[in-house]
Amino acid sequence: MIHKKIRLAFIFIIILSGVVYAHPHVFIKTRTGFVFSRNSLAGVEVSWSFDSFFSGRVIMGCDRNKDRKFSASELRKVYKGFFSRLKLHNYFIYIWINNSYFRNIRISNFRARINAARIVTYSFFIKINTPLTARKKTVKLMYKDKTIFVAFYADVKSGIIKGIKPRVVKALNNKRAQYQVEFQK
Amino acid sequence: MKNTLIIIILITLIFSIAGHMYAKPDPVKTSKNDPAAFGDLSKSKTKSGGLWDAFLGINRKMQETVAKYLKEIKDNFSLVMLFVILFVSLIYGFIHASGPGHGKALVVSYFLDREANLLDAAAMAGLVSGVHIGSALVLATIFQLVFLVIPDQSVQTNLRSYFTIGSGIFIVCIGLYSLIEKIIHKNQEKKIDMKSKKSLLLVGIAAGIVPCPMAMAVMLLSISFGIYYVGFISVLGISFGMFALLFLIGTITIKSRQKIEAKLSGKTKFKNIFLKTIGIASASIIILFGLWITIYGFQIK
Repeated sequence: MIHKKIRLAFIFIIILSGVVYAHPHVFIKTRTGFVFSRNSLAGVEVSWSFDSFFSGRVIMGCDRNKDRKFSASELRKVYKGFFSRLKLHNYFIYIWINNSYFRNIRISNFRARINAARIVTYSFFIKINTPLTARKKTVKLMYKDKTIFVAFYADVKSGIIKGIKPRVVKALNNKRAQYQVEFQK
Repeated sequence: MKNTLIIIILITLIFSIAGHMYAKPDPVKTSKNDPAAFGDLSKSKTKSGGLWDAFLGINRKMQETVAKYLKEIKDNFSLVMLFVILFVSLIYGFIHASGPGHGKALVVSYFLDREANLLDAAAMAGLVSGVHIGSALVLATIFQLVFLVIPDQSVQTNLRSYFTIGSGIFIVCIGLYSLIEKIIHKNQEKKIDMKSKKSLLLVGIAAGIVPCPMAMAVMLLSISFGIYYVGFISVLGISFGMFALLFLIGTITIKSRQKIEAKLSGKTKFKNIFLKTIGIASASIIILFGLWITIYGFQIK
């Protein structure tokens, strides 16, 4: 009994130490659009706008001609230097379809732009392609960095549903960048 | 003594291997069993989140304020604006350091374990914040002014990972050393007191050695704006803010310990048990903390 208590205390201390160590340094504002076609949920359009400091690093590192635009070669540099590594962390993206974890996060159509306030925004598409059925489906999505170095928050005013609108039962999100869409044919 | 060392080395090795295996990034493995990671949003009452979200929001706003003033001073320099940046950075440093991390738990563990005064608290706060910010300044300067490059995400992540692992191992060693001291040299008060000063230095360096990513970001942005010295002033402000918070925490811990000791002054037996327990608990927490930081360092990769 005593040993059990000691073990529990040990685990608690370890967990607490870990939880209280990490803290965010990069902030990302997310916009997420669930794109529907006639018969399916085609995928998710994602847009990440970074804070000024991280944006500054990407601009300094990649916008070599300082024209505040990423050319094709500069865009490759952004992708290689400041994005592709995130694959190790599943791009910080977690998706569940009817409570089943969606494993195949594949990024396509990656773009990056700089706005007038020198904020860098990435946008990309995640193909899902799940058919619409008469039975209601629920898709959940959230962004999370387990090391808590990056913090996500949502632009709650941006639209969640895009493309041909299905019979959407619910489309919800919150400031923590968590999304839930329920739909059926 | 020989046996103790072998046991410590074995324990460290076992924890390191276990930590490394646990820490391999595998988001799929840890998420597949958690289909309702954030529950049902339609039943969730909190739209804006709780205390953690509020803390993140304040941090984000403070960070953006510093960035905004840096952009402004780039175009219109004035001394008043420089003081505003110093002040805002100080507040930001205080708020940022009040969140998780920054060696607060280590500072508390350290001062719970020994008699100390406010000078010690100031020395510890100065060491942690100075090393934390100073190492970032050095790195930012080396990258930008010596190598003339902006480190990409891989370089920065690797660096952060190496420094964190190094810091974690360093902290584990200090904790083990402290624990051995408690067990072996329990009757040599003077010797321990001499070593306390050295351990303050070691704990201070270990807690601060991971370069502050925020200070690095401020410096790199300032360099890109051609206002290196303004960045330096801002980083100095952040450092002062962090110093103020750590000093406050150190002081509260020292005073709390003194009060408890005063209450137990007539009860020698209880006092001895209390001090011994606190000493061993403090060293153990430092070891565990170091182990966790090491694991976290592997996770960053």
